[in-house]
Amino acid sequence: MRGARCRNRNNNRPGEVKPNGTSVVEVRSLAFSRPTGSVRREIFTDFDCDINAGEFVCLVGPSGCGKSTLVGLLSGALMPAKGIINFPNGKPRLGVQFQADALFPWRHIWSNLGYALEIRGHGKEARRAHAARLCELVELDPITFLDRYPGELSGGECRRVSLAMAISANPDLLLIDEATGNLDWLTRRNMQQMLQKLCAERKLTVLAVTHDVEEAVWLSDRILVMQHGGDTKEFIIDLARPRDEATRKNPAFIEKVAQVAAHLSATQQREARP
Amino acid sequence: MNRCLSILWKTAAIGFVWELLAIFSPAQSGVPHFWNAATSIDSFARFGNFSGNTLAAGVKVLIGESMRTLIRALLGMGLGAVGGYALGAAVLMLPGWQAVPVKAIASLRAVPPLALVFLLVFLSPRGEGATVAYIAICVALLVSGTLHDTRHYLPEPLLQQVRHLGGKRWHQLKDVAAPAMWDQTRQTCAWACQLLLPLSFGAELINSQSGGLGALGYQAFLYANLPQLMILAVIYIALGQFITPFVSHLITPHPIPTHSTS
Repeated sequence: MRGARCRNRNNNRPGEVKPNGTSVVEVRSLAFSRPTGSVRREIFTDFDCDINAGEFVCLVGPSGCGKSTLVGLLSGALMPAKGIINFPNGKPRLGVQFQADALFPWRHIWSNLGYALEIRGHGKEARRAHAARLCELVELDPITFLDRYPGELSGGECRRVSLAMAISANPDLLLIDEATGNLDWLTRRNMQQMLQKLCAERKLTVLAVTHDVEEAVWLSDRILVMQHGGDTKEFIIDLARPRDEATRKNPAFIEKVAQVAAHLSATQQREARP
Repeated sequence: MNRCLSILWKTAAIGFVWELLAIFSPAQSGVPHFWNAATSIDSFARFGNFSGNTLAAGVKVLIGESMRTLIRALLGMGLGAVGGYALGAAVLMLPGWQAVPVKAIASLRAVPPLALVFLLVFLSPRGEGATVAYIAICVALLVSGTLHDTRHYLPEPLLQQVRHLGGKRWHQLKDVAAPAMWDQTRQTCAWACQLLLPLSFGAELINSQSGGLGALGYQAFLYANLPQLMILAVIYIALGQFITPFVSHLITPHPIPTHSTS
């Protein structure tokens, strides 16, 4: 499957940017390289993909293939060497959950979650109320957590607050970089359920990076398996929503997990060859 | 009260060590006895507008010159800290123009600070401005240099988060960079406080017409007056003990929680 391109649901050919009502992001011929020592290492040379409105897209792939780089490029933190990132319906409001929790360690949780309103000049009461609503959305008890500092939270609680922070400015497009990384099995499951509920309630468009194939299949509508260099293979996940624990025992789910995992390991084996 | 007692005790201990040195050193080395030095206080009266060399006049001169040095030092510290912070903030705030403040800081760092005094004395012949400006420049260099050096260690995800949540560069500076660098800034201010007296001494020594303890030190050195030099050393030690905790107390640490239950 090497050389397979990521296709969108509207069957736009790679390189062809068509304004359509559903695409939130269209990425064409994206190239990016990083300086490593005296040479520049190519992360992508020619990457294409689309993300449609309301879609949950997961990016999986071997370490170093550029998943987090793509998040950085979409969020504007990195600049591509060439190619275009097009927003057909205008630049969306972005929410980003970073790999490392981007919380103000010197502010209370309510102050962290109310920061988007603080920038807009809202008062303390409005910010606290907004923070309480966000806490409830990510299934944290506002009474317990609002007056704590990030340093006083567990890893799982921190990830939830980070997610709440990412959606605190009501984004159109949510970029998640390993939402459940470094979490224990149970917390990971809870986070996945909470993410699904949140996305359904808020009708969020999500691009999530993960290393967990099962998580990717359970959460997403579409999976992009990335390879070094930017080649991708797309898997459509057409399992019914809402998904629950029973979904994980569904033969269609198990088959999808096996397909994606097989492709991923074949990719890794191919790339490991000298 | 405890602070004053502590200063007195430490000064007395230094005096005791000095006295031991005077007792056990060879006579030709010229180390005066502590009592001889203490009785030389009246000799400072000639630096004031007094008719005779009395102890009261000598003490008045010492207090007056000490206050002059302290005011210069604190004024230079204030101006330097504000200027240095502004220069350091410019490095963070103006990404398109970063090259200008970065090069300014790099160039100024390459100049031996004491060399600036001569230039400043020419620009301000009466000396008052030269001493304050010299201290301010040295403090500004310290503060801006620290901000310049620590800008690479700012929490990048947090800076990006502020941008995604709708914040401008000003918000990044105010809400991320300033608190994240607070500890370094505080440390630098503490170092600058500790350097205030040596800096003012250097400036006043070179610019001896400007008065101050440094100028008295220059006169004492010129006439090889060891008792006077000793008195000045004791005053500098006492001032040093007074100034460092005083200014450090003003710069209270930011209440950043560091403990974690996870």
